[in-house]
Amino acid sequence: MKSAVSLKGTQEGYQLIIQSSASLQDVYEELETLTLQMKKDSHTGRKINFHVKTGQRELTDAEKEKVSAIVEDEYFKVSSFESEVLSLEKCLQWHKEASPTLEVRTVRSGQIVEAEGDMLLIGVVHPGGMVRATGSIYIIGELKGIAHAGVYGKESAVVVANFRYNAQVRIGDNVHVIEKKDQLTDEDSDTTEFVYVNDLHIIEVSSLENLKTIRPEIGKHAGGIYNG
Amino acid sequence: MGKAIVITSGKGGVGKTTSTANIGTALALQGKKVCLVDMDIGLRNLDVILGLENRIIYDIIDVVEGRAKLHQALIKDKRFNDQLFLLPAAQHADKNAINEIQMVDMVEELKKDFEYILIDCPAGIEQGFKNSIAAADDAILVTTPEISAIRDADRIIGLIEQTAIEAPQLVINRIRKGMMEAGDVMDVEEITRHLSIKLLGIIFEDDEVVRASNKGNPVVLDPNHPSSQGYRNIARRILGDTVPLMTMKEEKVSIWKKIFGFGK
Repeated sequence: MKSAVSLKGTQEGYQLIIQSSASLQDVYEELETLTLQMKKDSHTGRKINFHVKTGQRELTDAEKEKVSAIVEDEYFKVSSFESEVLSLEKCLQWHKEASPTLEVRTVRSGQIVEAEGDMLLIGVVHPGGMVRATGSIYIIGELKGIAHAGVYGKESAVVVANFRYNAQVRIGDNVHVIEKKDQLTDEDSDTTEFVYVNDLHIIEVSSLENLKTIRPEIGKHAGGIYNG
Repeated sequence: MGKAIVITSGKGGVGKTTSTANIGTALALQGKKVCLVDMDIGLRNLDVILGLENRIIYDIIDVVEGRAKLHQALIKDKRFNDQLFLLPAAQHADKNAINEIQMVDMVEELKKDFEYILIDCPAGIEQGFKNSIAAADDAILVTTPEISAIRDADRIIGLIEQTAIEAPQLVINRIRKGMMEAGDVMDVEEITRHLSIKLLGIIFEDDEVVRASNKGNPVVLDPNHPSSQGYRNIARRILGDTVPLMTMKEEKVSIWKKIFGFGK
């Protein structure tokens, strides 16, 4: 029979691997004997940290505490737990953060449209209307009101829009007022640009071809919570 | 110590906001330090007429709820050198988001820095009106020669008389000379007598008012219009000057003058 708990030494330190197919009762028992054995063998008096891998099983907080209680003493310490399972909640959270919110609507005066993560708005933000996102904001249509990206202070957020009209852009705590002339010329008709916060914490407007250079991380989702 | 003047009417659409913007601008042109306060929370317009809409960062509700300091919410009108400021209303709140006590405190603080504080009152007699009245020392009542506007104005005077504010002064707006001369509407004297308050000024109907407001430039900036002159006169009267009322008589232009450019 494959044992419920095995010990592995790596360059980073010691790992306790708990088989996900074993019952918890067996795990606790084996853990106890294993720890006892280790404590007998260990005479160095050094402090040792254990990294616990639980495979296809997510331990509850109470179970984690119990494991720690069995292993830990003066010299032994459980430094971290790792499983290959993601809770649904975390999944959804990650999905929410990684995928832009799509809004197709007109944002009228006095309305506030909010999104967690990035927002893609297809429509018009009227004067007095506001779009707010914790990430970046991309607008296909017209911005005549306020676009507030990086609401909670994410200064790497950008606002991409066709800045043809009087409007206001905010990124984090920075505010930029966009003033356009009354008469639009042909040149103004194609002015999709982006607004970002530069190294000096000053808002700047730049043309789209620089977006990839200035914010290379945009549009490149590395995927996964641990990479994200 | 400054003076707070509320601009009110009761009825909507008679030109409160336009009058606030223009009288405020006229006072600033006279070298006074002026702050305009938009109390029409939820349906703000004063910022639009002044052309300052896209500069709003904080509003009056942000100040009341402590998200911003008062001086942070004030927007400077760049056309004047530190003379004209706007405290904008919130667009996504309603008139109950602020009460009389908060309003009084705020205006008291503004009075320390400004010579004139003009409060643009919302239409109606609900909380927004009460807030606007609570903080004011003086009142300007705007009406048009229409009977419905005059009726509402009468009601407002009654309400203001119950407060500590002195009787309001009257501005008759959007006067159409032809109609008044023909007797289709009450004339200036009749309206003033009917409401029995002091007349502060009259403004003639003028397309330029709408044209200028749409561009975000109060009409008073351009002195070549009759409406502009009317607002400038009002500002001077507020400052204590004696200015004669503008003449009602339409200058009769003879057909010969039209054709040849001379003659009577």
